[in-house]
Amino acid sequence: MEINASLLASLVISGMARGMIYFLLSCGLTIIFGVMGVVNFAHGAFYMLAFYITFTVANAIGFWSSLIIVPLVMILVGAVAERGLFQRVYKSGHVFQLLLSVGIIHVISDLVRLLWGLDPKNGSIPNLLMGCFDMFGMVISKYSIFIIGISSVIAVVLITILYKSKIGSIIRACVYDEEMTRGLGINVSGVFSLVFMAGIGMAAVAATIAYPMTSGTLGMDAQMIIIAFCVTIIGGVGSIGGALVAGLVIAIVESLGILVLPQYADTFIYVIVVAVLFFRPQGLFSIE
Amino acid sequence: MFFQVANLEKSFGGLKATDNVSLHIKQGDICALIGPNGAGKTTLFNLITGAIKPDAGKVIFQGEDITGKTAREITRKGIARSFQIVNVFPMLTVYENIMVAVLSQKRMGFNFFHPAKKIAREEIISHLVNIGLATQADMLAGQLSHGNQKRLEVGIALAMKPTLLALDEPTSGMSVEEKGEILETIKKLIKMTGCTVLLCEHDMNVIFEVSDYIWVLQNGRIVANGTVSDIKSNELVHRIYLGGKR
Amino acid sequence: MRGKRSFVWAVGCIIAIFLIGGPFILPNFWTWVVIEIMVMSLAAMSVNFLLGYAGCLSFGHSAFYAAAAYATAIMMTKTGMNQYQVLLLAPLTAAILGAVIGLLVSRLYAFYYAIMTCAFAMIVWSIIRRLPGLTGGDTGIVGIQFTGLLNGMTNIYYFTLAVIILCGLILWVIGNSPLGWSLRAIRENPDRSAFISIDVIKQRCLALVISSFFCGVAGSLHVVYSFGAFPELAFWTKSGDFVTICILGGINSFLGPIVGSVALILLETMITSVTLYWPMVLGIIICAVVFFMPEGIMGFVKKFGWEKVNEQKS
Repeated sequence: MEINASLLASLVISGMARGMIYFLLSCGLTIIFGVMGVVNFAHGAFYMLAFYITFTVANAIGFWSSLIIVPLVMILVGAVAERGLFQRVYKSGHVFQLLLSVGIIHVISDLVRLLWGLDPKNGSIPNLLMGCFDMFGMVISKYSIFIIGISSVIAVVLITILYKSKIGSIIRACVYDEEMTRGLGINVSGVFSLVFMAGIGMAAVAATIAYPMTSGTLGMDAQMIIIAFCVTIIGGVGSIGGALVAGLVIAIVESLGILVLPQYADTFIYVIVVAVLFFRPQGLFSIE
Repeated sequence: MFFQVANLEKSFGGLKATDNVSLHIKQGDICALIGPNGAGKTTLFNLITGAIKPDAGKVIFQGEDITGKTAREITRKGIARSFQIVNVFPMLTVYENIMVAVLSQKRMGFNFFHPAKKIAREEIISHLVNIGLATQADMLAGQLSHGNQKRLEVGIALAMKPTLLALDEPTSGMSVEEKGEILETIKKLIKMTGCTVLLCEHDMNVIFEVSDYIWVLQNGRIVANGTVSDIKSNELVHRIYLGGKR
Repeated sequence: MRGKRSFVWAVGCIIAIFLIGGPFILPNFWTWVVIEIMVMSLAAMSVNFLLGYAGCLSFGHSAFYAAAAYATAIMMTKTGMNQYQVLLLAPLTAAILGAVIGLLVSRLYAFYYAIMTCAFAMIVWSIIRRLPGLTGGDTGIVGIQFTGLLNGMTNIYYFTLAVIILCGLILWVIGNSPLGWSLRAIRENPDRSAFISIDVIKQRCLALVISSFFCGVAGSLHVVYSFGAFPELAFWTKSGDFVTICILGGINSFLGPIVGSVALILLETMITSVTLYWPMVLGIIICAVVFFMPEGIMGFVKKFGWEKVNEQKS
């Protein structure tokens, strides 16, 4: 393969698109970790569930409506999971929290196998966004631009909510000191539910916009959760901005890695993670 | 000099918790550190014992510069501390609490074939007797009363056979009777082991009763020092402790 | 007290007779199941050494299990080494991997520890799949035959039993040594441990090395009874199974992991014979353990069983 500027640029753009998906997926994980102190190992499984639901909805009604329906359905699923399961282990320590997520992963992935079967599910890019356009000699897929656009909007909205609104300041207060926030008379358990639902909703948005350009298999949950962990570690727990930067870095490194050493593209990510962990264990953008 | 702190500084954000503190302790003395709430006593303890690192200044112990060393190294050199807020091993029994300290003091941490419970039984039991917890040896530390947890706190520190024992408010949160008892115990133990003591305390009666020398801390600075009678007659100390009443 | 002791002795004797007579009493199928249970017990004991004593939750033990399994398989097929040498060297491979990972993760606590060990296991998993020349890629290495003492079901059974008992004893001795007690101190209160001169990071690292060695022994035995090594051994779900077994059995008990693996593998064997949806059942079991039996089976037995026995006998 000949390496030139235009190839490099299109790789960076497609990397950015994937990076935004990683960001959407991980910011749910990182904010749930930051606020509740719970690592939701099952985050990847929720992503997978959302992906398969998108498959069904997109085939039945169409991709554009799935963009609305799937996140709503997953927010509902998130609410049930939080109220019925996670809420009961907030005080039980990390061992039980992780074990509970492992249990949920088993149930979800078996459910997916039961309902959708073993064969991979491929989406197709909607006609409107098919194809590429030519920009300064670079070939850029329209869908990548769509992903970058829609996720940027979500990121801006999210950061505005978190830093400018009242609910945002309450959430940030929970990250700093949950007990104190409770002491101020704030319904912390309500905030927890809200954050959890939002986190799962974000994973669902990520899954839905990733659906047309990726292929869904039963092992995808593990793949995604590892990436989300890497993003969280590099970005720092509870930091949305950190998740954005880390998601982009990981995806772009992945893209360029394919260019250099195709077999070991994901090994580069692990190297970054190990390096961050070694030199800055609290993450690059940790608020703590 | 046995133990010396020179021009120690530590800030948290904009707040100078320790501001150019210098003090020294003579071998064999019971030396007290007093001051109102928030004077920076615990911060100074943390700096001396390696819990946090100072921004500037030196800590010299038995002629050796121990500034910025880790808590583990400093403890190994012979400075053991107890904590103001109970900090024991809650799910281990009282016996086991002392045992882990004794095993570590004997540098057996990497020994993996001797049955631990058979090592140094007499020594551990004598420690338990000394701190008055022999009858509660098989209770979980977390289930002890607050007063007894504070005793255990001191016992763990003493099990390290320190040459300098740093006691951070050993009587905090105790009733008057309990205070009297634990003070007797501590006095007896200090006499028995002959170790030098740096004592941080709120209760002035306690201080005046036991100390040989007193350092007064306010807003992170040493504002007075001297023997008990010096401090008792010190105008400034009166002002600090009695607030704006004069 | 006497009633309790004689009850324990009686149960112990029955289990001992059962284990010694194993292959002659049980049908073949169940003998293999017992072998699997034994190997799983050892792996879970190694995980519990870390979790129960040092308080470190590892989701990465599949890496050590797989590393030793692949080391065994590769040395058996690609080198002309003696099979006993191979079985001694393979767990050392796991221990070396444990030391490397330990250097990186021993500073971390709780979630960070769990996540990072898990990430390392996934790295091992992806490396195994990327090196088809050495590891056979996705299909793994199959058809490894041991000879002599390790040939045939009965021999494998007794060999495994002997190794498990030996390793169990060693783990018991280490657990009750000064090292084991320092680890308990670290589990209880790492900050205070530093103030009694315990080298927290080094000790946690050493705990991981010991644990990975014994997990490696289990991994090697896996090759002995299944005649192969497969990439799934490194997948994180395997680590998840180990942790599940520990907690199902009870992490505060030395015998917990054994009880847990007996319970889990018996359940798995029975349920998979009825339905394909074992993972779903497993997931529900895990949730039930988390909510209703956090002390595990051994905790349950201690709380209710012992008291009942005492009531009846006294």
